[in-house]
Amino acid sequence: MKSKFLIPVLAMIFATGMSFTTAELGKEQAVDYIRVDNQWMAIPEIDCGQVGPNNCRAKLQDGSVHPIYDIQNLSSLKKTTSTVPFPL
Amino acid sequence: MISKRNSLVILISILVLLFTYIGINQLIFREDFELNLLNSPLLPIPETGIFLLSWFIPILELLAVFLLLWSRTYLLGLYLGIFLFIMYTSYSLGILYFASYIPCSCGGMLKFLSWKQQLWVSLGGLMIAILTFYFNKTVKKV
Repeated sequence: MKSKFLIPVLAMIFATGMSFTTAELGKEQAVDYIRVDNQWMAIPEIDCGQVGPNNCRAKLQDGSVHPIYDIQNLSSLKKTTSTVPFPL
Repeated sequence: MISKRNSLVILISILVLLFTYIGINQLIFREDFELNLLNSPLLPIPETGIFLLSWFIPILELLAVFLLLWSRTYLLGLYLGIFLFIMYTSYSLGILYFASYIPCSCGGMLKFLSWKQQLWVSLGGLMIAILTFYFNKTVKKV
């Protein structure tokens, strides 16, 4: 009967391998950051278009607008030519 | 035709696959996971609590895997799995329909899925876990 548990064990080994493989891909997935209530919040990377004089901003579903940062650093503001915030 | 006992083994394997993948991924990206829990509009708890939660959740998932692997403990693992999927489903529903804003889904169960997709995956997982429970009742001993 214990042989019946060979398949779940194989599933676990397979999933472990798959986790590490896809983790490598996940690391390449870029994210941007905004500041909400003085805390960093990761958002999917926003294509702000051409670099310009304006701050690239994201508009949340509650209507609030926040500047977008490349990394978790206040000096890493993303710039754009667009004046319209990007909806999330 | 697949016997009920084999169906039970297949269903347990699917749960093991899901929890191993989710648990290890959350551990690999634990810092991102912690940051996104911090940003969650549904978890107004202190940073220490979030830090502990970011370790506790993936460890709980991997514990469910190990419990599911042994014939003496798989029922306990099944209960834990059902509990975890109910938590995921409630959390995804809360984020989608009750939260003041929708944070990045990278803090969820599977970071590459949107919140709606995470909701469907957790609902699917819950269905599988309940089905496993049903098969467990009909199969006397594995």
